[in-house]
Amino acid sequence: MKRKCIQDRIFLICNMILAILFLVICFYPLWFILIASFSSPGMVSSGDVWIVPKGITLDGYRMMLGKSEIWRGYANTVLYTVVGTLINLLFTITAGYALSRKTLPFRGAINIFFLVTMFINGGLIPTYLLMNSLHLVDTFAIMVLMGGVNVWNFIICRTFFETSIPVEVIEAAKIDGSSELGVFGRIVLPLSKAILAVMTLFFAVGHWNGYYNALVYLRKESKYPLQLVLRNLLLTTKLSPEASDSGMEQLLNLQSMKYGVIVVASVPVLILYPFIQKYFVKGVMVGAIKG
Amino acid sequence: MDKRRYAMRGVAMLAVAGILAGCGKQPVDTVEENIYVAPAVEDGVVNGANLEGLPIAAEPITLTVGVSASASSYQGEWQDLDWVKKLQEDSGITLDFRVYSSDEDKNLMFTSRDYPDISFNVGTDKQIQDAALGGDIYELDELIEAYSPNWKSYFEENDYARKVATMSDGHIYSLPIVRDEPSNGDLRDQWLIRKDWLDELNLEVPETTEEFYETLKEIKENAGTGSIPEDVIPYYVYGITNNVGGALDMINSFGVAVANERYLVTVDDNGKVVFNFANEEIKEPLSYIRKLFEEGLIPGECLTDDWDTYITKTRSDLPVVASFHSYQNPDASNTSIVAMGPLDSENGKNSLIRSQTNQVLRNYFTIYKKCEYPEAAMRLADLIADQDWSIQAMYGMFGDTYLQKSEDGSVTMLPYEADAQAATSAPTNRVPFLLKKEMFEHFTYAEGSAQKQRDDAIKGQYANHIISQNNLYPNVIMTTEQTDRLAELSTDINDYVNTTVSTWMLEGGIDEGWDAYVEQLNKLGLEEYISILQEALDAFNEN
Amino acid sequence: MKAKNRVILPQKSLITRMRQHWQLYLILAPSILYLLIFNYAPLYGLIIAFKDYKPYFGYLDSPFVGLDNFVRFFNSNKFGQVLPNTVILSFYSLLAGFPFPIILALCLNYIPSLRFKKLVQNITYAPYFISTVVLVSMLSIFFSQSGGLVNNIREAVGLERILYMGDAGAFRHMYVWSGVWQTVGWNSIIYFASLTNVDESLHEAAIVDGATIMQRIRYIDLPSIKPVIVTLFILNTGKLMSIGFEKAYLMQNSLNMEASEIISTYVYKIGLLNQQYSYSTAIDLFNALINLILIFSVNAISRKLSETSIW
Repeated sequence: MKRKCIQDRIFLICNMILAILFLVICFYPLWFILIASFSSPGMVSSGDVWIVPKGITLDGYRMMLGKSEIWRGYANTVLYTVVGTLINLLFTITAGYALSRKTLPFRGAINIFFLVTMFINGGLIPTYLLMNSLHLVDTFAIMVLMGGVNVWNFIICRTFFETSIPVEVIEAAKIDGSSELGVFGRIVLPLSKAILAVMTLFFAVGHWNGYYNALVYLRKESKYPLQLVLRNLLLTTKLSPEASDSGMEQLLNLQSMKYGVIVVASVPVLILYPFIQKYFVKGVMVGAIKG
Repeated sequence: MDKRRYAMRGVAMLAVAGILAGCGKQPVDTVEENIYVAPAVEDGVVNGANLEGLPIAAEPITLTVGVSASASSYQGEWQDLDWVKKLQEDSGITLDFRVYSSDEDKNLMFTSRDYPDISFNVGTDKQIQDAALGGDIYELDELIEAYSPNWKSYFEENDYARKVATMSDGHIYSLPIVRDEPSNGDLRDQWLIRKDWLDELNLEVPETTEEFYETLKEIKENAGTGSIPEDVIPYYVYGITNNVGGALDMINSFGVAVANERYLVTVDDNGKVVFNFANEEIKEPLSYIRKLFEEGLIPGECLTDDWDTYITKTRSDLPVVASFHSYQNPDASNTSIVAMGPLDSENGKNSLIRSQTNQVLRNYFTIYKKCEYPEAAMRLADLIADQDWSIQAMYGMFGDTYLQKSEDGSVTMLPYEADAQAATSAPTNRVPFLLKKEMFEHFTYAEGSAQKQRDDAIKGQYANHIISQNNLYPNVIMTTEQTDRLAELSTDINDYVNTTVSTWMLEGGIDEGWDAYVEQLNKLGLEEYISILQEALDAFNEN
Repeated sequence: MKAKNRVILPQKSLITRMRQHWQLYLILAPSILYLLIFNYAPLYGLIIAFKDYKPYFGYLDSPFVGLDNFVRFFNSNKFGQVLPNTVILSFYSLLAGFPFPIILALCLNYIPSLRFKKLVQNITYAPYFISTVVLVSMLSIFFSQSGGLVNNIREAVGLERILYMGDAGAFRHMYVWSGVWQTVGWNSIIYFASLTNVDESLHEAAIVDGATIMQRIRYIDLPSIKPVIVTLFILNTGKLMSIGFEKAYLMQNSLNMEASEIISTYVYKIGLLNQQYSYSTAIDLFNALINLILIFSVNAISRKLSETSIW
């Protein structure tokens, strides 16, 4: 007993050190971004900014305030994220649950049907042609529908249902007279708060960070999500420097926004995490099974 | 519906022709669908467009316009630009912009054949050629003839512009952008040096490569004294072969002409394509630059820095760079930073500095077959090509802020913050304007403006050193096969040149490594590369 | 596993069993329909890998060229460089990136202080939101030869300064470890969530039996989340070859080209910028096939060793 205590104590100390290490390694670059967003871009790029901001300036944030497209992008992104995530959850959770049931006939075949799409796709052009013929190009619908079924997350969900929901619980409920949907709604979902939380987070962040679909399918700047606006701000001139001959001084101004936009664009998703965290609480299962 | 069926039949016929022709060769015959057939004129109105005068639209006309997104990167959005608002007002045509942000979605526009009515700066040669072969765009020859006196007369007077705009089948499918502005095209980068630091050290602006070397050394030795910072960078180049900010003009100072507007090649006086990066003569300038790297006068980081770093380092509030290459002088007054060079290498050759071939660029205005008002669209292009509209597109609107037009027609640029222009007024060089050389004969740059300083430098110290347009590889049109093959060869060759030269800069070994380098270039297909470029150039010149 | 199930379950006819599960088919139907439209319908596009695709001929009428596009890729000067580069970078990323999220999740699981736990979670999760453009700028600042933090430390301990950004040898380490840094917190979420679902009574029993924390991790936690670990590992091997273009492209310069030119950057330069659709489709297809082979093999191995399979 004594030996165990000492071992555990050593473990906990090492564990703490490890956690602090993780914390520091991840925290410093974030701190750097924060101070860089308040510093003069010249001093940042020449490596003078390390611990505290130097050449303090609010230019970056001031410029952002003046850019209405950023705020409009924000609003668009929130909308795409909320609706898109709901659609994702609907598809993924239901499919993941159905295919987690080992008694389902043709389960293997349907699984393969899902899985194949992860590797083989027809490519951008035929997909675009199809979307165009469905009149989805440049619409709100395409922004929330694209990637509606995410096979990767579907597999994670399925694995979770398979391993975390005991078959006995389901069988017992069915013997009590519940229908399949009843079991899913009343028994399985309440037991799956953790995975629901994870999936919400995964999908929401996916929508929040995504720009590619917008880049391909949107034509009106008024519909652009935040990330595409930011990308256009930071990257276009980089890929074709000659376009910027007459605007080199403006480019310098853009530099002062570079780190600030990360701060501004990340805050909402950073706030999201603590909300999700509360579902990662131990003992949910125990209570369910005992009850 | 009928139209579409016709188009489909045309495509099918083309397909057969393509298969019959075999070997993937493309039919170069005119595609009938592209030919414009003039409808009847009634009361001076043709298909909804007035034949003359403003507004252009005789009935409400909306055109969807494909444009690149780069305008929104640091300028306002297309719809919000004053110039665009005025254009819509005067022409009576509503412009509905469709914005393409990247290569991917521009590619998609052409492969899906989901076009707008017209497009500005969207489309590569290959894309336009393909669209033409598909019968998707109007051949502009007839339309120019009938509705665009500005472009018509310009092409008649200016053979080079006509050649650049003409596709290999002899037709014009898209209008170019023309900016025949000496202060732009006659020079690529200015060579700049911090005069204030030279003054502090009691040094003159260097005139020879030897003096330049001594000056840089002096600056480095005096790091931390006066206003020269501890971490001073005596000479900063953004890579060696980059067209913007690179060290090409350092090489040119030794009289070995190099340019990299596309292919790292130049053209000699007999019209032969020259690849000077495989020429023994370049060893001298390369060794010189190597010496600057070796002694820490150019930091090794130059070779790995990205574009943002180049911008911030050369323009930081607290200056760190003494000498660099840039289009604009950040100090437009030309006092604390001054234009210098090119340097005399004392090897008996005239030192050179690069000019540009971007006076005429293709594919800036295309009318797609789905456009119901090709006449109105062409008249719109003609309006943009008007000298007043063109200059306003580039530098901002007439009035009290940007430009002032006097009664004799001369235009004066007013001193304004560059920021203001970009934010609200002008689309700059992203619309198909036509700025003739004559325009700038009665155009006055604002004192203290960046463009004025550049203009002065070009007319002054650089005048006798600028590489002639004839020695630069022009903006030729190529066949699809040539484009494809060149893409592969130039990726291999340019990457290899860059990697090798950069390594030489850091580690030396130019003389020892030279033969192996040239041999490897030949293995990578240098000969074929040059011959393709030569072939395309000859075809262009004969056109 | 299917065979096992059949033994356990009472044998009924297929139709009866399908009827019993009709509600499950009902909730599966939308996803299946979605995949049919959005993923399966565009598959015809793959034929252009075997054609010389011209938009004006369309998919069906573009001339057929057989395997020419593949042969061209295999014969190109860079093939011998980009293939190994891609494979090495992918494997390195997978192997380096895989264990850390699990370690982090376990580490968090045994932090007694709830507030500190949440703090660590939140901070480690944040780097995921840094865009590639900014990440690459930060790399070049931290690893800068003249003023970079890393080189300042090297100098302080008497080592010479290194031009990391231009060092082909350093490229892979920088690419991979910055990736690990960026995703460790994010990827640990799923493990952490799985750990919270581990049956608490098992731990209680183990504590009563006098098990140390290390023993509990080894005999309770890891076996409980093993299916998740294995599943994610298999899924990750399945995207080995599809390593993204943007970060490598932004980190690329003439000095590290030797290591930084990978299939996706090469395809971007040749295929996409020059509208060689057939060529890029062929290379994508080649990548997809390798991925498929990889995932099938890993899955087969896993099925043998751990009885976990993703289909």
